[in-house]
Amino acid sequence: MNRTQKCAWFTLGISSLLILFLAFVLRSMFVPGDRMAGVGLVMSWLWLILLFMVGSLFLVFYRQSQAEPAADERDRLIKRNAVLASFIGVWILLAMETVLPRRLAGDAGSIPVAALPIINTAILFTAMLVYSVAVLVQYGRGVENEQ
Amino acid sequence: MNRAQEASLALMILMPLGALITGSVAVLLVYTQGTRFIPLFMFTLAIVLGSLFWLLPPVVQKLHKSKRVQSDERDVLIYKNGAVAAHVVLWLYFATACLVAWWFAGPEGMVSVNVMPLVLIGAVALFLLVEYLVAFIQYGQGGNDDE
Repeated sequence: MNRTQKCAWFTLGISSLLILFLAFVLRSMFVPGDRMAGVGLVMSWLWLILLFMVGSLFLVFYRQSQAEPAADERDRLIKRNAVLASFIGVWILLAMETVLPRRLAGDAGSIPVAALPIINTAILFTAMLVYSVAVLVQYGRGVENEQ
Repeated sequence: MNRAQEASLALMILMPLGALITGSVAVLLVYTQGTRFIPLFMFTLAIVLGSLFWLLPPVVQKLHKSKRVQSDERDVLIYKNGAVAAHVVLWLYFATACLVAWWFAGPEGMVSVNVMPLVLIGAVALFLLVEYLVAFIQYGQGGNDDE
């Protein structure tokens, strides 16, 4: 496994954790009386994310052997394709962000202002998730070398 | 000003205006007449064309690989750079939109779901503007090479 793959696994893990965390925070905003109840849990989430980051960063930068390949032209192509996939994902998610609240809250509905940064950050992390999945899928498929 | 610069200047003006007018009219029609097919189609068209138009040059190049040259490697690279820069600006736009909403409505404030489509239309217009502005600048920098 080269560094690009390790980074993709790391991004996949960290973005999944952060999306779960943000979903938890967002849920607490819509449950009456639950907003402050989650402070202790937020702290434990943050510890979990920090521990995951430290452990994963060590694994990413630790070379298993001298034969472990560094990034080459194929890696760059894979990353470029993954970035394109995540850009398309961003637009789909942004469109969903516009349509879903209207569907859920109705034509005259409204949502808390504080939810907007959380939703947008969740979209950012989902784009990271799409990127890492796209990288891993391309490595899994062996990437058509004719490109 | 070379031909490519003129084209990107025209697109820089026409595309954001087109997206802004089509999208806003569609949103206004939905507000006044309710959800119907034509405004929804106009809105979807503005979003899809505006947000994914940057994929056109690479796709055209791929389709016409063995046929007549539509756009060369440099054009594709310029539009890709433009798309990347526009996505960076897109995130800044959404961060600013969240902050502005928070500033005006307060931390406990609410925002109508009807504002969200207009924010998205603004994002598409800004995205197109930045994309073609970057292309215009890049064509200007290396414009004499292909003349």
